[in-house]
Amino acid sequence: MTSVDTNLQTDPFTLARDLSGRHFYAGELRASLSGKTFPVINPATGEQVAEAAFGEAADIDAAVQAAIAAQKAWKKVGARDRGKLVAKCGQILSEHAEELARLVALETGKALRTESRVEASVLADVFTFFGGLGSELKGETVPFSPTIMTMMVREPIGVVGAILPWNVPLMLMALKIAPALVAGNAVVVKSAEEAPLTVLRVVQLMNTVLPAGLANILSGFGPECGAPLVSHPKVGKVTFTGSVETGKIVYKAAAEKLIPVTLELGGKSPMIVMEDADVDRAVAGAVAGMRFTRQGQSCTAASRIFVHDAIHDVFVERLKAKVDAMKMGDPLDEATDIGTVV
Amino acid sequence: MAHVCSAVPTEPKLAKGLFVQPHIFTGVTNASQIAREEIFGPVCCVIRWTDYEEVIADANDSEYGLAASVWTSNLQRAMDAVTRLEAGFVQVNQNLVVQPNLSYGGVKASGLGKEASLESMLEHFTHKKTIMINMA
Repeated sequence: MTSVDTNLQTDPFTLARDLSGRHFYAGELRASLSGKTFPVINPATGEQVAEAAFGEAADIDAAVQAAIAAQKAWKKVGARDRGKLVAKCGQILSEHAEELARLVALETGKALRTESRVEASVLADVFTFFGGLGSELKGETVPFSPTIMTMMVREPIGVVGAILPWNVPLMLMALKIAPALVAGNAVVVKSAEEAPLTVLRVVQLMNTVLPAGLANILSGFGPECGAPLVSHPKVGKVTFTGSVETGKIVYKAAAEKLIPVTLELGGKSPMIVMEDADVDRAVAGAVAGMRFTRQGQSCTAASRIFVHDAIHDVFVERLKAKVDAMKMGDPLDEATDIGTVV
Repeated sequence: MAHVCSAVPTEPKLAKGLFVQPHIFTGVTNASQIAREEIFGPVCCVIRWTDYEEVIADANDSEYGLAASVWTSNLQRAMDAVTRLEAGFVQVNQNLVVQPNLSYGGVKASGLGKEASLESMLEHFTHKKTIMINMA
């Protein structure tokens, strides 16, 4: 398989082409076993910028087998030392922040200045944060009897499956895999079909630090790639972010195996503005809360704004003016406030 | 009534881009379809209210419970509202996003379990094993 170097690459178009048609598992970029791919589209132009590998059950199984082997050694590494390696991933991701920001702007349409750079910076921060928590994986002792030493210890689950959304793929991947790895697990990630490239690059960069097989990622669609990950007999936990509809499918599949799940699903979050609120502050809060710079594509979007009658009209006028002043345009343009939907 | 904001870019290379103008709907109630369903786009509704008890009830009248915020300079009202709002993440006078060191996750149809924070690592990525060693 061709290699893609891990030096800084700030031209997202070149990087997208270089990463084309690959998963990353067992320590290497790999094509799908079937050779199948699907197109990755730049939502700002409608042009194809790359292909992504079309993952299926056989690819998932190969990645899970690699993860099982890697986890056997990883769980024997001291928790603080695991944390140090995860923190080192944070350092490398921080050095690549601009590269990752540009690539995620290209594939998701999120404006570079207002959204994508912020996300790339938080990505590194999440690894740094969890990397420092290794020694917190503590147990307890209980004075059950003077002659019976009684303790509770925390053990890793084994192989964790993570299924990502496309709206904030970097941060949401980090929140799933950084703690899973520090806790002594291996991970197999299924990326979102709309945003498979930047998370692939992140896993490739992580693998310059971590032992092969610990962090694996496959691209594909729910029925062909996500479903076999959830139902794989050796995957002991699934963490999913996405829609309520798909969340229910994941939950049912996990119930068949009686494994735990974490589900982060939708929202219709209320924002209540009282008559004594600072109107300008609340308007700025509504713009931030609605994630207008991300085209509102957020599970926490403050999409129900309840405004007291006494300030309703002035609130609406100022909100309209503020959103009107935002510039929609090419996500990679520094002047752009709002990019595209995916 | 829909207020359509900002402007779609006119550069030819962006002609096929998926640009959606932000929409601010006014004159809607919490019973309106756009106030019930998650749209996942640049669309929000502004709902006029007068009665505090009713607005708290309306805010909670949703299948979801991910986040909520309250904007006021009245501490008593703020404290009352944060205890009554059914959501996993409730803020007063700010709308921050997920933070790495703060527990995050919804109630009702918004999800199960927590992400971020030490809690997520301990509770969601480990099993607890009880060990007894009889030394007698």
